[in-house]
Amino acid sequence: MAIFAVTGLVVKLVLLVLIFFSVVSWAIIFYKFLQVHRANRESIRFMDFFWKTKRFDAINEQLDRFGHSPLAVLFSEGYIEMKKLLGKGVQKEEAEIISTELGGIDNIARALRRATTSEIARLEKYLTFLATTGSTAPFIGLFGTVWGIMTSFKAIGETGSASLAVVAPGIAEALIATAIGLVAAIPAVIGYNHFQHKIRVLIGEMDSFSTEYLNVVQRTFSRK
Amino acid sequence: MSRTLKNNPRFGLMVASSLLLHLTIYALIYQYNKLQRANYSQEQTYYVDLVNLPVARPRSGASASEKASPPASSTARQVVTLPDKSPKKIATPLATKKPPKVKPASETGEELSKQMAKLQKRVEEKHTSSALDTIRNKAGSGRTGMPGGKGDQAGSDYASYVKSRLEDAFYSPMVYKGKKPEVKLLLRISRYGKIDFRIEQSSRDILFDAAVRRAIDMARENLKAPPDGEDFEHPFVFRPEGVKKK
Repeated sequence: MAIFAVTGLVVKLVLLVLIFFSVVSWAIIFYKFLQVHRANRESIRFMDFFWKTKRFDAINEQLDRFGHSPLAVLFSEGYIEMKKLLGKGVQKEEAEIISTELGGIDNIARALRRATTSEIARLEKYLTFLATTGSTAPFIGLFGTVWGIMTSFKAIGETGSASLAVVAPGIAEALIATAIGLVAAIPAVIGYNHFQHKIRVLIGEMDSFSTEYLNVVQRTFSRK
Repeated sequence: MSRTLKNNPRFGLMVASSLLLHLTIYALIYQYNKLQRANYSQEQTYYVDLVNLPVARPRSGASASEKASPPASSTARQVVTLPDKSPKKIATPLATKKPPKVKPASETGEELSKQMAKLQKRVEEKHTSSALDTIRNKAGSGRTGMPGGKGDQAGSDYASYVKSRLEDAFYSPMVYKGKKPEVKLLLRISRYGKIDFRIEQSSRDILFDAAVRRAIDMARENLKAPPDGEDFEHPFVFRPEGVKKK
């Protein structure tokens, strides 16, 4: 637009930075929306499937259907660890017994905790950029505005005329930087808060699934 | 862990979508502005060019500012002065000459009205002739203050024209160093319209000097070549109040 064309070099740079922030923020918002939405949907489906299916090996075979669910990842990690322990038991001719005394349950719990941590990291990836955009974009915009007003006042001083017709366009050009800063920051802050909440819910679900999983493992294998 | 990474949505695709969104919004705003601009009915602005205002004697070579007196006011002045003269003309013969034959009151009244009619006729004639003169002057090439003006004094009209153009273009800075900054310069306009100037006395104020230069640059776009086909050279003085011919 014409207003962008008439701004100074510094204001132009500020605007470019803000546009970059806005583009990347929206990309992250789209990305996170898809990721969190799929994770929620498939977690619900996975939990249904988990409670309906009694056998761990049958669940493990169907895990590909729940590729986006963090709970499926947790199950997979726990199952791999459990298999390792069972394999060790076979070697010791104590098949299908996971001894709590030997720390077998602890091993699975550690594996689940590790998987939870990595899933949280995966879900929270790029969110820091949204937080950064939300907090810094208005200030960057403000810097552009201050600079624009400074240069426009300088120009007014040189021309000598201080009428509204002379002062107003310069200030309008300068204020566009603040406007774009806010345009970049507002969706970023909203997106950050929304996804933080959704991820917190998913983390809660992962914690409760880990506990449930450990309980099931203990119930199933300790009895034998 | 590799399974989870594989299932992540592609970030590049999201960046492309975001770019598309931004471009769409930009295009929408652009179109909206364009539509608004198209619907906006702009009224034509009329400017009054003070340089081209009618002048009493444009061919005499006097400048617009010096002799600018519209014809209407001059005739008005004549009309105002007439009643002073007419009673004199009527009164003197009555006072100095021999006492006329005694005429009846009705006769003297008729004479008076005749004289009044004559005077009125004369005034009307003068009025018409001055109006015609003005029209003739306007119709001819000699409009004072215009680049085509042909004053008797070489370049006098053109100097006024140049001065007014410089005045239009000159904006004194809001702040200046001295109390009364003054720039004296010699402006030279070639017969082909090429403008050149030499600052003879600077104001020692960078901003004020820059304002003068800028005024000349701005005036350069509108100034026409001298009408008489000769080079024009004239000193001008720039002050915060305006431009003056030296």
